[in-house]
Amino acid sequence: MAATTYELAAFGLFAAVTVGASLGVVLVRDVWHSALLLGIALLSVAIHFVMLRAEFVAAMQILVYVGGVLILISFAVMLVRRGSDDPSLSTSPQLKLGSHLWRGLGAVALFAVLAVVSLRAALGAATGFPSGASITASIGVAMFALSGAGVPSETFLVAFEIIDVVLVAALVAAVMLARRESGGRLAAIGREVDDS
Amino acid sequence: MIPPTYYLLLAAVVFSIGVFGILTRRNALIFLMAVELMLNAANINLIAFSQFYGNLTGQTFALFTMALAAAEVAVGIGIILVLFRNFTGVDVTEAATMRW
Repeated sequence: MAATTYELAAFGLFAAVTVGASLGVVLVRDVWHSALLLGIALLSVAIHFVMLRAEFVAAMQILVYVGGVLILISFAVMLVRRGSDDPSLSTSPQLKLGSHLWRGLGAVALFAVLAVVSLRAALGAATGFPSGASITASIGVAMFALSGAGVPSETFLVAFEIIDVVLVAALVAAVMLARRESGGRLAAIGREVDDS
Repeated sequence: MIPPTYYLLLAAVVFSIGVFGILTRRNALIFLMAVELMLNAANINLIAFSQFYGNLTGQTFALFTMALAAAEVAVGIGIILVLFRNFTGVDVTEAATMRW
């Protein structure tokens, strides 16, 4: 099944949006603009997921990343910002030609290695999802190791439970980090410490 | 069906951009965003191959990656806030008191 012109055009368009927004995340001066551009990049990745017939993962991408992760990052941006002319918000890109050139070349070299490996890989024959099977239902079946999946998959019940524990541990750790140790009272997050 | 090589190249570009961001920027929040970009590149690969081979393991794994990314961001934001309180800034080169 060859790709149609429309598919290729849509892929090219949203690949350009993804790459452009990702470049913007690491290149713009203001960290708040970085956060907004990250939102654009995450949304365009969700569109790639829809084009790859992963509608449920696309919905989760929007809910978890754009609705959760990006909001957390926006909160952090606002909490650590001390005014519009804060020099710490624009620590870079003072792209210095000495050290930054080598680091940029390192990133380009990494891309070259990845591209060569991708282009030379023997991928085998495309299988595609079986027609008529519900992908979202099969994800649920795979996650809870039930029977009756329409699409083949491995089962992930143990991983599901471990992720559960990891999420709880991470949230407890975040609360632990955000409170002040001395005196046992809760910290006002983002205010300057005067008795440190 | 778009060939998976295209998606592999797209993911390679996004991952390299994330690496570039971590290597060149000094703002800890940009670090966090660059890590998100790299995780998303991995997710693109997982889902592209999931569709190519007609197997749902990749899609399920991408969901787990998202859950781990959410946990990582929660801890990362906590660390950044502690960094901001202790060093009055989020520049990672300033926090050098444990350097020997």
